[in-house]
Amino acid sequence: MDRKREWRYLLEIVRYGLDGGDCPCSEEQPDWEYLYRVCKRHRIEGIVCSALEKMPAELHPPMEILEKFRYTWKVETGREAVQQFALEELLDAYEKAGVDCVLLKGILVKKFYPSPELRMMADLDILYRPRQGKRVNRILLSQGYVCDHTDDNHKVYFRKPFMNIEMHHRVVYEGHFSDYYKDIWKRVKLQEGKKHIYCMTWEDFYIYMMVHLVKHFQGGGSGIRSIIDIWQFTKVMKDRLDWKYIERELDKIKLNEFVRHMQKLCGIWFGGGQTTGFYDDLTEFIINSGIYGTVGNSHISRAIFSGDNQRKGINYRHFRATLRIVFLPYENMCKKYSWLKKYPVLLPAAWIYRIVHFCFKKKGKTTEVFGSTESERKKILERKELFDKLALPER
Amino acid sequence: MKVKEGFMMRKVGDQIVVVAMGQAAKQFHGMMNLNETGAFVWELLKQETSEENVLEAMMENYGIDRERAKKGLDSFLDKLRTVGVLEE
Repeated sequence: MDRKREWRYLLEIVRYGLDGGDCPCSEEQPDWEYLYRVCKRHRIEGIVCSALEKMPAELHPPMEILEKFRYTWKVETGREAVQQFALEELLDAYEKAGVDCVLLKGILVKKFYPSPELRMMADLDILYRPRQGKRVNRILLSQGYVCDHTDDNHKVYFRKPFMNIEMHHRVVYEGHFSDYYKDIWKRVKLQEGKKHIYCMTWEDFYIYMMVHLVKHFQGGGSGIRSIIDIWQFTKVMKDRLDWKYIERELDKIKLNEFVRHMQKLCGIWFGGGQTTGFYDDLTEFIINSGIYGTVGNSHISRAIFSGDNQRKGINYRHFRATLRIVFLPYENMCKKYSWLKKYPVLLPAAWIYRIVHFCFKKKGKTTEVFGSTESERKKILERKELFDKLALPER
Repeated sequence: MKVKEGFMMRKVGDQIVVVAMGQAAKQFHGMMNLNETGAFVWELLKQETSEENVLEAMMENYGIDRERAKKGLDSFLDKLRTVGVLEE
């Protein structure tokens, strides 16, 4: 079976796992080793397993692969139970301590799946008011979390064995959507019975899902799960949303066309819609991205979305993007070498150390990064064409 | 007897599972699936109780005789002891 047919078959299985209907069938056995790897990269093993358990045995993968699917589904069920408890525990504490917070991303989107463990969630994403940061930190530390790292957007807390909490102090990174979300706290609503736990309206949540997807497309790419999220959410909510409001808001941030493409893609993947060359290319991009994108994609995106370099040609932007990988900006270098904060004048020395370290100690990674910069021109041009048709806005 | 602190029963979709949190997670890394009867007994074991109390509750709730209730309960308690979930 060629890869495109295998992808179509996999998406049919996903559709069957979440929506029922006609059982997917194939006269030819797919390459199940490959399909399992795809499922693993996209963290959809649970969904596929739930479908396989309903399908006739002759359509099952080899037993050793089926057992892998089953095992992961069990693990995700356990993870879901732990995350449910941890979230309740944390929100109770926030409510009692008067900490305002907004629930984001997977915490909410999994409610639209037939069963919550089918929507794997690596971490809990919660927005808080920066002025309440100390209180947030105290509560998390009292519950046994440690602050793993901080960046421009959020602080990440970890508790063994696998609980990750991302406390966001803003909804989006600096860029195209910052202005749109600067008054987010005026647009959220309190959860029933709560004084401090907020959610976006469902219309705003739909818009946020799309904005978040754009952010990933503009970075390393995004996976199958993002499209499944849109499909599941829209399926449940389509008759309950104010679509005129959504269209007006999407127009403000120039996302109407992008959203139309995403909905069309859902229709093709899960609704039996007719595909085209463009949507085949988009499918290939998404499937090859994996759940969180790839280094290669990030590099290509950096060349495409180069801010004030937009007027320069692709060669120049490619060159600049390569330089940025080799000579990381000071802020990024400080995350890797904290002594630079005290001695910023040593930045050139830190660059040299990093280059030597990668050349001798991390040859594989160096090859991955620079290998991915070769043959780039054609890829950049092709990707730019895809992004232009998708009407992705500037970063 | 009762279940040790740190072990939680949760409903996930159609499944009822027991997972460990906090200190208990250092000792128990897995997950237990419970059926409806197991979940019923687990609820009783969340507070300090006796085997006799649990047996009587099972007989009343399920309309079964003592022998059948004891067979089921003994099997369930053995599993909990093996995993280290029970405090006696």
